[in-house]
Amino acid sequence: MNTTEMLKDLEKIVSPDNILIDKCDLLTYARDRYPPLVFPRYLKLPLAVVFPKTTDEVVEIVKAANKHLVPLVPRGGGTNFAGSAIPLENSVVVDLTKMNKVIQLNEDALYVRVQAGITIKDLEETLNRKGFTFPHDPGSFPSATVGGSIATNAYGWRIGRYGYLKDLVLGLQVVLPTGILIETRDVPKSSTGLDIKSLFIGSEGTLGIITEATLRIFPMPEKRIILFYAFTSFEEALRALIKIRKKGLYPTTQLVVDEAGVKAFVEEGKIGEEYKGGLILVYEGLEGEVDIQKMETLKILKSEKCIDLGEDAARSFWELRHKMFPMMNVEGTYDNIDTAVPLDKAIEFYRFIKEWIEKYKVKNLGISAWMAPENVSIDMVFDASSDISINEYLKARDELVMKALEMGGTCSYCIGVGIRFSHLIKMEHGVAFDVIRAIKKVLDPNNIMNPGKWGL
Amino acid sequence: MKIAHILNELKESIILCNRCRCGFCRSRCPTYLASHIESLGARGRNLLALALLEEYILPSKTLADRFFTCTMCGYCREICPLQVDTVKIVQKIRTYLIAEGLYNSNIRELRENIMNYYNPYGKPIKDKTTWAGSIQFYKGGKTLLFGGCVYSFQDPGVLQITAQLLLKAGVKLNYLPNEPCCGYPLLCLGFQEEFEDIAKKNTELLLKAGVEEIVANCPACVETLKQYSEHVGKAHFKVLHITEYLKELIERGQIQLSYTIPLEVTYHDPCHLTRYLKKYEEPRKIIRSIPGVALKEKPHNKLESICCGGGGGILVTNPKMALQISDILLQDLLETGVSTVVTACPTCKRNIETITKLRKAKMTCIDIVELVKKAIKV
Repeated sequence: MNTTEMLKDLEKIVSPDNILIDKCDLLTYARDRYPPLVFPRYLKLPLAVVFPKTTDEVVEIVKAANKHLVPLVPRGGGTNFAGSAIPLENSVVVDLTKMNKVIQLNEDALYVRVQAGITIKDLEETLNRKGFTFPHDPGSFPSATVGGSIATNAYGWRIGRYGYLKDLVLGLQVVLPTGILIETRDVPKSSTGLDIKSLFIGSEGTLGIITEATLRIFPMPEKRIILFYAFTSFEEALRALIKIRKKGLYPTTQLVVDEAGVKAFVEEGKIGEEYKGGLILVYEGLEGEVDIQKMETLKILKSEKCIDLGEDAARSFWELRHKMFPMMNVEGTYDNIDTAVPLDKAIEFYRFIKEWIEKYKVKNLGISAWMAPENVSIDMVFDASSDISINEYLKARDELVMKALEMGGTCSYCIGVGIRFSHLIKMEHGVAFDVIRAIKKVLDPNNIMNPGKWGL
Repeated sequence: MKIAHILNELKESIILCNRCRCGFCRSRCPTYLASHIESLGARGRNLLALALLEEYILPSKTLADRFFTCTMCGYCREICPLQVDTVKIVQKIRTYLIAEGLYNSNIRELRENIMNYYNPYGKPIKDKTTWAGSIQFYKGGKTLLFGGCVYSFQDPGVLQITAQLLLKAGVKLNYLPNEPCCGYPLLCLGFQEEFEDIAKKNTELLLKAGVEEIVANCPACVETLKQYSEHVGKAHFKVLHITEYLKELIERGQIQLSYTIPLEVTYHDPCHLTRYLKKYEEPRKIIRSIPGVALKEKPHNKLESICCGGGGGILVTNPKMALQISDILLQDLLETGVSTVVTACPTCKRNIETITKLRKAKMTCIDIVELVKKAIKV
């Protein structure tokens, strides 16, 4: 590794105001949103931060990194909870946020081509002014970037109607770890061998740097309705959601919450104490389509023991859907364990989480099934102020995640592996992890791209 | 001076931000958008604040730049889901950096000008109220028109129009000969003791003049004068921005907008007026009440409006970045396709004029009272 030569090369590739090397600045890139790293004493500084403005500059940066064997860590909004953007010492952080342009909006073909560093908020505001929407709506909407979202295969509040992020990505431009530039074709699917773009969706910067993306867009919905019903338990609310889905309804947003979730949006004393679960459904689209889905949903809910929490609670949820995760930090250091299990195990896993909460005296801020009944996960807080409390938390977290794996589920349905589950990824994939390892070895022979993540 | 002592009451907020790190503040933070440097956004600054508290880093020239290069536009505080007051954190750290001697000569000169000449330009104080010379004010009137340094020295015509409008509406208006600076530059740059001293002296002056109500055109003056009561117990003046005052007079019929002005305009919300004082409807009501005037909003308006690049002392701490921020605002203004921009702050007006001239944009900027004047018979 030749860090001195690397810095010299970076200065040739980008202008001096696009490189940071001062300790002060480097410190602010030493973490993303990985919860155990609240205090600077836990952080390790990268060698430098570089801001490319073009794909060509990214190519040159990657080539220089290979030449000098200096690791690169791509970074967007720095909002990842798994530590995917945490740099190693002597690595160079590649901050993509100056590559933030809308390259082409094709209103007839319903797609938009963007540079990877544009934020979801900026993109959405630009599209909304033209009557369109890009329906990826993560909790980190104001600050997350398109590139970061794709690289973590992120999730959003509106997937029920529009599909997963991978379905919204038509094509990608990626700089491979050796500096080769590839472009996939801007078609929704092809039957010509492996789907190369899918390799990079969720790759967390380990297989290259996403520089541009072509994204599917939609007309702004004509109507949106939000329903919020209280049930006697989380389990009853979950069963109701399954009935709704079995009917063939496709809510844009679907969220099952436990008692803590209900309390967050409903005034104290407004409903009876027996209501310990909630179901939130959002429908959007053409007016007639929304109305008929609402009508069919209400028919199902009529036969359930549940009550309508009214428009205020529903609206309050919708307005707080991005802010609610940050707000939980008031109670301690917030984390989300985004486990998912096969649907027939969902209730059993929910019960396990309840026991786990008791066992470890966890401060639960809400068990939920977010956007799919399989995604049984927990919002909680822990104490990140000392090594002891952090280690206790990490041990407890592993126990919960391993239970999900044992039940045939996944460690993470939306956040990613990063450094948090690098010790568990092999357990999740089993022998198939060798395929991941082999792909990584072929594409990144010098292990330049984001080393230390995924246990690689 | 110990950093732990200075940040004592803000420590919990700083830790809170570092727990959360949502980065929502980056989305419209002017210094972040102009640079894309994490430490020039609120989230980055709060990480540095915690590192300072933990003595993980020591004060340095770069650190000073990251805290002095802030427009204090208040967007971070506005959008923060946890209501972390980063503006206050920046202000306190500036106080610490000043105590450590880490501030530039422009800041030093500004302080000396205010302390010695009672205005930031170092001009003779008697020149400040030249604009009031030919106007017949009510001596002993309880309502004071506070001119402010920027309007008085750089755009006095706006004050003359304001005085004419209010006097014509029947307001018993007075002014303060030898009016001193409100102290805003001292307050925002972190000269806490000096600011408190000025606030005390100004309060005595205003009490002696029998003032009960202050109206000012400069939003930063309004915000600062309102803060006097926190530092000086007896500073119980009612302080209003001109747009609040004018809106009432128009609604009560004391100002009649008689002429039709066929004009499409956009409005730029000054940071202090929109995010500090929450007065974004008042100017819009005034504009909409003028016959013929159509208001076309720029993409980011009201609480989302971006700073003009003139707040928080950035014009003296980092003028290059101030210009880059003005460029971002200009893009927003140009998106409207409108050629007249109305605002209600002298610094915003000057910055918009500077950037439009520099980029040869076909756009003129007028103060809201100048627009109102066009519609009345004086």
